[in-house]
Amino acid sequence: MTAPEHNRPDRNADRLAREWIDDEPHPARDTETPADHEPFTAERRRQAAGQGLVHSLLTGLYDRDQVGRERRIQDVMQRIRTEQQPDAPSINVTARRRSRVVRWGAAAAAAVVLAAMLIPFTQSDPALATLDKMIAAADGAGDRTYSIHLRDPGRRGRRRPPAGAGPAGVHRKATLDGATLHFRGRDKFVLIRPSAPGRRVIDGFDGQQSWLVRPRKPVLVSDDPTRFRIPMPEELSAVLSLDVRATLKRLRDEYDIEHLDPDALNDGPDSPAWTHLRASRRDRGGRGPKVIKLWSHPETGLLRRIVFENVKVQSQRTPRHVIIDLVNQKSLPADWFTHDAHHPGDATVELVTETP
Amino acid sequence: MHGIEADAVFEILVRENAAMLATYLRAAVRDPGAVDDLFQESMLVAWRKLDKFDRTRPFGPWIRGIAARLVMAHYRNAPRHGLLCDEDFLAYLDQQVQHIAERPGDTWDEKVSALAECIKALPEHYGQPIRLRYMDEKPAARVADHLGVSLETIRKRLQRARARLLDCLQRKGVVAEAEADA
Repeated sequence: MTAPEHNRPDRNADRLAREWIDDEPHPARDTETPADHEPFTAERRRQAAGQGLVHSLLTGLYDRDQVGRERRIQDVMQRIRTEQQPDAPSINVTARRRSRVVRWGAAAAAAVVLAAMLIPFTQSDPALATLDKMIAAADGAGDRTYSIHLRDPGRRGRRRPPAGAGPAGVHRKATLDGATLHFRGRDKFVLIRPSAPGRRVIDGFDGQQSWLVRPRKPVLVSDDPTRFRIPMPEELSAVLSLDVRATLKRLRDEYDIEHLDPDALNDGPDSPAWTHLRASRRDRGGRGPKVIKLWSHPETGLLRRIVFENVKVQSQRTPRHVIIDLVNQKSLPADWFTHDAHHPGDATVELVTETP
Repeated sequence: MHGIEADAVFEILVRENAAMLATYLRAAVRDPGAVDDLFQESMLVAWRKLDKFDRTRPFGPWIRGIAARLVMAHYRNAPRHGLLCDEDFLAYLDQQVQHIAERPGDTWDEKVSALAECIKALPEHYGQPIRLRYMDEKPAARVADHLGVSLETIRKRLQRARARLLDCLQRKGVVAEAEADA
């Protein structure tokens, strides 16, 4: 790399380029013209353009906001279709600082490109079309973090302490209540379940190996994706798997789907009205919760919440709602879905090869 | 023909060129909101002027030409950064984006996939600020706090890191070597 020539216009160009890319926006300053401005050389402009290009490529490389990308395209097409309508009002081309559709909690906008070519939307049934959109969204490459809670159906908005909780220091089994579930793409997952205070049991699948991290025990790894069965209510296991797409397809096959009124879910003034579905089991005597409710993004289909109602949970005298909520879509470290990210480097790791 | 409406066909063009145009605009305009607006305006202008488009020529350079005019208009309201972004600046960007578009690969991500290798090859004192700034999406001031250095130090370090990445991308043929002044 050629060292910059040390003259004033070059230093100004370098400084401007650095400020332009790495400073926070400053509208008042941005509209000023530097008093000591001298013409920049073509070479300096090219170097600044090179900086801008690399900045743009880096931003694109780490950009997991597929909803934002898809929304950009959908906004264009919506404007075009609106203009094509004979009675469309004239539209101001310049639309500055449009409010974002999704800014909810601490999460960036959710995303998955619609796989319109792959999933035949059922145009005649809007509820099924919504579910199909959710199935397509489940293939999204972005990271998603969900929380899992059990709730007494009779105590709306008030949660009981996690199932199996006891006094501090008392050992308890790992529970789904209070668990955190991370997804990447269609089938990579990490499930973190609280057990004894300060301890966690962590299950995961990195695309090739499943693994299990337990307190004070060897890490177990297997080439069998289903080797470590996650204890869950039997009723739930009939429909819920950690392959989100497979779970939603099972609903499509075994449940009647209907729209309910859109619901903002108390997510704040900037949140969308989430599309709300109810799934009712067709086979009254079949396995699985009788009623499942789903909330998804109205444009992208990204799953926001799924509630399995009145599920019999071991150790609970009365049924519970199992609630899985999207917490955020922050990018997780590249190695998050491998077991190495969840235990000390000197932990014993055992490869499990035999079926118990 | 196939009963496909013109807007559905145009949507194919939008999708095929979305990543390319976004790269071009993000390299020229800092504010993400402005990038979104300019993206939309560029595509809308292209739609309205589609009958003037020479269909024997590629769509990409044409849409970038539209975008360049909109970027110049945008900088009339932000003269400080418009000092750098002039026609030469945009012509260089256009040349480089076209070079990338002509590379092998079905998607834009595939065409620029060598960038990940270039990042891995950075020395750690450049690689770490790059990861914090772009992968973790920290503003430069927070990167500086995280690393315990001044903001100006981090700005320079990021600038040098990006220069190294540009060199690497040139060596790998992702971007073209810059032509020297006559």
